[in-house]
Formats: sequence, structure tokens, C-alpha cells
Amino acid sequence: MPKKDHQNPPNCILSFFRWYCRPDYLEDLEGDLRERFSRQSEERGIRNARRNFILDVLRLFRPGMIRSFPNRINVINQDMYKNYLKIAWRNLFGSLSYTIIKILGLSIGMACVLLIVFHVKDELSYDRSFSRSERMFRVTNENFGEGARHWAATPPPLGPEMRRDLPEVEMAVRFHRPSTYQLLSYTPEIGETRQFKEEGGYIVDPEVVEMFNLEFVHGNPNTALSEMNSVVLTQEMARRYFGNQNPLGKTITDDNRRISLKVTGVVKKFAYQTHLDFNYLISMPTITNYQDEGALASRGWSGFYTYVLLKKDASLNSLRSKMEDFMVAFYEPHGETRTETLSLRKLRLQPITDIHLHSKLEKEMTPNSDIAYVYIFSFVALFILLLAAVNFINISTTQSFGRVKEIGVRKVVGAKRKQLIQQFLTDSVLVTFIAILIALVFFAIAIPYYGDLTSKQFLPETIFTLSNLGILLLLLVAIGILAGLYPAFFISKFNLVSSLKSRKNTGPRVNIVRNSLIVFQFVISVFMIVGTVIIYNQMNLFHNKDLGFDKEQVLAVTMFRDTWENLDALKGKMLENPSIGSFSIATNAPGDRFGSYFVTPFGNSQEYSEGFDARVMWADEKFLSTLDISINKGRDFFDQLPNFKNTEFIINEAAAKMFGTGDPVGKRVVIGRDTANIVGVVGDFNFASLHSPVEPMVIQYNPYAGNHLLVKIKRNQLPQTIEYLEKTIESLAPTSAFSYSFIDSRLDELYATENVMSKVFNAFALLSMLISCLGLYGLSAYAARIRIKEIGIRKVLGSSNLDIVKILSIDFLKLVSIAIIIAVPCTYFAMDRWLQDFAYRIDMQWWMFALAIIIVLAIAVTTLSYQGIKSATASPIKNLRTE
Amino acid sequence: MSKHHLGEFEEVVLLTVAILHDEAYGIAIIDEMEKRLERKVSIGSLQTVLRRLEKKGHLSSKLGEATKMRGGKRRRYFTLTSYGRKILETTKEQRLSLWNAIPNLDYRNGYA
Repeated sequence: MPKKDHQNPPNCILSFFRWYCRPDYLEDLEGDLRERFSRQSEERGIRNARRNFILDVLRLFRPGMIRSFPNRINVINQDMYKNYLKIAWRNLFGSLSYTIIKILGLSIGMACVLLIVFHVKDELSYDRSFSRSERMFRVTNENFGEGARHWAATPPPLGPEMRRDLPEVEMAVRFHRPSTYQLLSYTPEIGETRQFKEEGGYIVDPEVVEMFNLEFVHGNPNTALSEMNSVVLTQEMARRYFGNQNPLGKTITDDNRRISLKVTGVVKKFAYQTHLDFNYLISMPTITNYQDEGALASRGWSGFYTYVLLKKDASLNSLRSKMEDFMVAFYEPHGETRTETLSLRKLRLQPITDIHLHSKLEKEMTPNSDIAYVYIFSFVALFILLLAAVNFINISTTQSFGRVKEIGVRKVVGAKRKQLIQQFLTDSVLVTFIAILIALVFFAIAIPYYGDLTSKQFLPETIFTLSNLGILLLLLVAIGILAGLYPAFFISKFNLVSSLKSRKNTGPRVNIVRNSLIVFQFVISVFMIVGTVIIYNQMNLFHNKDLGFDKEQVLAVTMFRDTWENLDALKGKMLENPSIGSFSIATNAPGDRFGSYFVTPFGNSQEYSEGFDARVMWADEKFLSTLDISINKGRDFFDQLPNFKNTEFIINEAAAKMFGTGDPVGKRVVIGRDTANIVGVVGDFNFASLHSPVEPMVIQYNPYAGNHLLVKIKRNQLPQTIEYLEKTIESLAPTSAFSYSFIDSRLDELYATENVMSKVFNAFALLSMLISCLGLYGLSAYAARIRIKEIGIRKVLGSSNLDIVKILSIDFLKLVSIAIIIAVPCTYFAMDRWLQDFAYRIDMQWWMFALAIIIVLAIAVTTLSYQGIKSATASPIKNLRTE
Repeated sequence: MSKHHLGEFEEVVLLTVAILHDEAYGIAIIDEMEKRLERKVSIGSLQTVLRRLEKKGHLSSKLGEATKMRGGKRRRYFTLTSYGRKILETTKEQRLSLWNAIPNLDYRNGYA
């Protein structure tokens, strides 16, 4: 630092002082400071003097000494706002019922918005919380040509080969689901064996730990999944088997395959939403116990979910451009030429964040959601908020007529228009603020129910974050100001002179803006109600439509190894029970995902191009009779046990169509490794969700294959029969679990998303109707009050109460009718679009619209008549007196 | 309107100004107080009190001459107004009356 003049205190500090100090104190204070400084620099040295100078200046920086800074931009004139707030507060209580309507409407609207915001945020957050989510992709496999399908899963060798041959790929992790569920058990040293039926188990590559940021509670993350027969459990699962003990080193047995798995780790479940939901992970080397070598080397089998992580600086485009050549090289060992591969296949890289909302491929890990619902819910929330805001605007403008005198006085005393606007904006911001507080209360109450409804978890940490509170604040200001803007402008326009005179300044009778707002409200309400009716009917269709087979009282009991081994005894026991009708063993029950295979006619041409993709299942000879499926052509299977030699096929009508003209019965086809005859054709039945039309399906006869024992229970003996089955299985196959479900429940689960949407729509339809009625009530009340003298005169001249009610209501009813006329076509188009998603849908019938219209009209009329009657029965004498 | 009661610091400041008579300006007041009472006084607190007392009418001030030591800035001298003098005396009397009201002045032998 350059040497300062001995006699002068530090310049920058001095300038700072001169800047903040009040001008009338400045001179002598500076003088005092300098005097002190000089004295101290002589007595105690320059350094001390400087230090004390700085300290003194800092200590003088206090309110009494700081100058007042001029407001160069007069953004907020503080002083008047105290008055505005006071008046706003008083006005709240002045017209209490209006205030309540406004606040209630707004808070309901905002609570809905809050709920939906969280729902949408939650949906959008899937798979984004991995540390490298933006670089993670799932490889998908699209087939063209006959039987085109886009698979979410890929062949086993794909992952490692991508890692090996493509430099952009940093890591590849594969997931394989050995079966939909497994039977696992743990036998402690003392105590009984605990056995559970588990889902969500995957065989994975060890890099899964790093790629998906798995957090280990016990065990070594680096080695837990490297050795054969190791399994890593989630905390919840570990607790189920081992209580609070440390499970490391203990053994869990896969009872089906008789494999012992050593527990090598316990991980925390993902704390955030992801499409990957697992319960336990088995190490990749163990896969040889589940699949044979041929399958593992197969390049045609889409059996593994492959996820890749891109290197940090790698370009996605460069990787994508290499995929074609890579794919050709990959399928070469499969015996395909380059042209064949390129025309039949495409490997795609799907960003992991796209999966939850946009992916509807074949063989998804678990069914995903749909972005359409995000849009729908967002619109619903917006609509309801708009309704509430419209109410607010309408009621505020009508209320303003009551404040005409106040405004007149303020103008006389000198209020500028801008100030009046500020005042009324304060009013609306205050109301909005109170409404937000109440909205938060509603929100807090509703969240547990909403979470249950949508099966989401709402955790306090994710809700009360700073950014969310910021959004809330923004919402407050935005709504308060926007909703308040129109009334504020409207009010401040009042004519000064006429507002001070007692002349009624009611404004134009026909207020375009206000009326169109009412129409808007009712359009939305009609839409919501019609929507609800239609959705309800569609849901009913799902539930009640004839599916082509008998789904009532049919159990699907899981077959385990022990159950197989004791099958004959089991069958015998079942035949003994008269309540048990037919039973059958099959690989798939309706509602499950059916595997997709290629069906080729056996004959002259062996080419790929002839044939089609079909759903295939295996069953015994009792399958069709158990489910009461009718045979249209040919015959059913017959019992070939104990010497099963020839497999046979039965196809459905949709598959039969693929054979063109002529009878398919008797034709030979090839599916996988089997070549056999088609012996029968059954009617199409809906084995999958009604979203899609019935696909071609083949049932292959195999009495030894099957995961489910389908049991039709006769009469009304359900609980007893189930108990009978349970006891029988327990006694015959003690190490198996007895696990069953009803077919109709399984089918219902296919419509889980629609179910949720239906309930949400119901709730919101109710709310929107409520808000619209609140608005209508407020406005009609006001209109009635305005016309109080007119009503009095009419009564005196002889009108009946009914006439008066009619007169008061007619204007509003006209508006509601206009709303209905507008709403019906819009709703028709929108619902039609939604119904397109379903292969089986209801026809929108006139009575659905009529029902909604009647409901809306009924409610509107009730509201208006209530108001009308109140006014009509008021005493004309009181009202006609002049003030 | 409640009567303004002097705070302890305010009283001391007024007394010091009275002591210094014509020479009562910021630095001098601080020096005097520190010398007589052996307590540290910061410029900020003193100046605040001085201005407040002036607003209340207990003190009046005027600007004096400039000196080189102060970099050419003038001094502000404070003097007691008659109102200030009156309130000092009122305060003094209140204190004395309290003292006189104590039953036995001889502490060393305990209370009577």
C-alpha cells in the first residue's frame, strides 16, 4: 500500500463516512473524527490511530446518523399502504358472506392447484435423481416387417458388446427378471422357516451399484454382486426375513429352483421416484442357474433390460450414428445379412427420463404412466383455478358498487387513479393471502387421501422446500394482482360527481365482461360433469363387458415346484370337493402379460416373411372348459397324459384371419422349436386389457407347463373352498406357499390408471360445480339487492312470488343456457379424443349429455330460486322507503 | 404527555456539558467523561445522545471555528439551555429526596 500522508485518516473510510452520514451532522462529526485521529497518531502511533478511526466510523453507522436516501423511483409509497391494509381488513368483515365466498372459492382453487402441482412434479421427476440421469439410456429393440414390435428388452450379449465396441459407452448394466415372482425362504437356526412369495427380483451386472448410486447399509458395494449365488436385499425385505439382525452371510433359498443364495448386502430403496423398482438383486454369475447357455448367447431373445451410461464428454449423436453398424455386426452371428438386419431391426437409445411417461413398449418392466394424464390433470387444476379467479373478479366488481361513496370521497381528497388502483389491489392481495393460508390447510388435510388415491408418497421434505415456498409466494402475488387488476381498474373509473350524489351508480345492467365470465364458469362445470359421466360409464364397461370367457369366481393359484411334484394327489383332492368346478393348469391367466412369438406356417416356403406375431400360452386340456371359452371350429385338446407325445395348437379368430381364406384347422405351423397341427379355433376373448383389440393368440397343448392353477369355484362357497384348497396344498406340498388371486381382480388392476383418473375427475367436477354455484349465488344475491325497490313495486302491483323468482332468475338462466350450448360440442370432441385410446369404448350417448345438463340446470335453478324467494318474500314496505 | 425522565447517560452528558461550559464539543466531552468517570464512551453513542437532547430542547448548539487539525472542519459547541438546566435540577432534587427518605444514614451499624 502506498504511504498515506501522516496527517490524514484513511481516505476510503472517510469517503464511506461522507456517503452515509447525515449532511447536517457531517461537518462537525468529521471534524471530531479528524481531531481524534490527529491526537491519537501523535500519542499512540499512526497504526492505532487508523484502527480507531475505522472503528469509530463503523460504530457511527447507526440509524440516527444515516442519511435518508431519496426514492428515485416511487415504486411503493409506503405510507398509504398502512391505510389501505386497514381499510381492506375492515372491508373484509363489512360484507362477510361475499368475502367468505371469495376466499372459499380461491382457497379451494389454490388447494387443487397445489395438489396437482405436486402430482405433476412427482410424475416429472421419475428417474431424474440418479447422479448421471442425463447420460443414462435404455437400449430398445424395434422389429419391422411381419409382426412389428418395439421391445423394451434386448438380447443378453448386447450390453457387454456395446461396452466393448463403442467407446462412447462408459458402462452397461443389464437386468433380467427370472420369473414374475419367486418363492424364497429363510430357515434360521432356531425357529421356523419363513417363506415369502416375492416379486421384483432381478439378476443384475455388478456395475449396477455405481450406475444407479445404490446405497449400501451392510456389505461391500464393490464385491457384493460379483460372485455366484449372491443376493443383495433391500432394507424392507431384509427386515421381513431377518428382523433387525444383520443378514450378511445368511442364506436365502429359492425354493422353486432349489438354489441357495448368500446375502452379501443390504441396500436402501431409492429415495426418489424411478421406474426401476426392485426388491432384491441377484448377482449376474448366478444366471447360469436360471437360463441355459443357448438362451444367454441368443441374439434373438429380448430377455434383458440393457441400460448404458454415456461417457461425460461423449456425444449422443456420434453414438447414435454408430448404432447401425454396430447392430449389423451384432446380428451377423445370428445369420443375418446386412440388408436383412437394416430392414428388419433398429436399436434405439431411450433416455431413462423418458421411460415413465412416454414409454409403452413391449415387455416394459412394469406398466408405465402416460404423459397424457399429466396434461389432463394440469388442465383440470388450471380450470378450477380459473373458476375461482372468475368468481373473485365478479364478486369484487359487484362489491365495488357498495363502495361508491368511499371512492368519491377519496377522489375529492386528492387520490390519484393510480393510488385507487393500488388500494384495491391491496384488497385483493390481502384476500388472496388469507385464501392461501386456508388453501394450505385444505392441502395438508387432503394430501394423505390424495397420496393414497394416486399411490404416491408425499414426504414433508420434498414438499416444504424453499423453491416450493417460492412458487407459493409467486402464486399469491400473481393471482392476487391478476385477479384484482380488472376490478381495480373498473372501480377507479367511477364518475366522481355522480358517485357522491346518492344516485344509484349501478353501472350498465348488461355487463359484458361479467356475463361472459359466468358463461365461462358454467362451460367448465358442464364439461367436468359430462366428463365424469362418460368416464364413469367407460369404467363400467371395463368392469362389466363380456370378455368372452367366464371370469367370475375363478382363482389363479400359483404353482410352485412342490405343487407340481404332488400334482396328481392335488388333482384327486380337488375332484373330491363338489364346490370346485373345472380346473386347469396354464402358463398365463387373463390379465397377465402374454409372451409374443412368431408363428410360421410349415410348408413350402421357409422364409421369414410368411407368418405373424402372436401371443402364445401353454395349457392343458381343461383350460377352455374352465374358462368357458367356446370352440368355433375343430376340437378342444384331449388328455394325453401319461404319455404326452404330440403337442397341438388352438388359435383364436384373430389368428385364424391371418391365414386368409380356408379353414386353418389341420394346418401345420412352427412356433419356436415346435411344429404341430392346429386342431381348433376359439372365439376371440379379451385376455389383455381393453385398451387394445384382441391380438392373434395361440394356445399350445402342454400339460407340464404352467404357472397357474386356474380353479373355477361353483356355488357360493368361496371362503370355504379357498380354505379347503389352502389346507390341501399345505398338507401335500408343505414347503410351498399358498398364493392366489381372483381373475377379475387381476383384470381390474389393468385399469389402475384410469381408475385414479376417474376418481380425481369426480372430485374435481364436484369442486368446479361448487365454485360455480358459489359464484352464481353471490351474483344473484347482489342482483337481487340492487333490484330491491323494483321488486317491492312489483309486489305491490300484484306479482306473485313465483313471478318475481322468475324475473330475477331469467337473466342468469339465459347465461347458463348459453354456457351449456357452448360446452356440449367442446366436451364431445374432447371425450371422443380420450376414448380413442381404447379399443373397446362406449358410444357417447345423448342421455349422458342430457344428464349433465339436467344436473347443472337443477343446481343453478336451486341457487337462483333460493335467492329469488328470499327477495320475493321480503316486505315491500320496508324496501320502498327512501333513505 | 408523560414527563421526560433523564436516562443515566443523558444526565451524565448534560452535566459534562455544564462542566465544560463554553468548551463542550464532541471530543472534549468524551475526554472529560472518560477522565472523570473512568468509563469508555464511543463517539456514536455520545453523538446520538447529544442530538436527541438537542431535539428535546435540553441543549443548544452552534458551530465554532475551523482548525487545521480538523482538516478545516468547524466544531459544534453544545450549551445547556435553561430547560436543560431545569431538568437537571429537577432530577437532582428527586435523587436527593430519595436519599433523604432513607431511614438511617448510618449503614455501617446496620439499620435502626
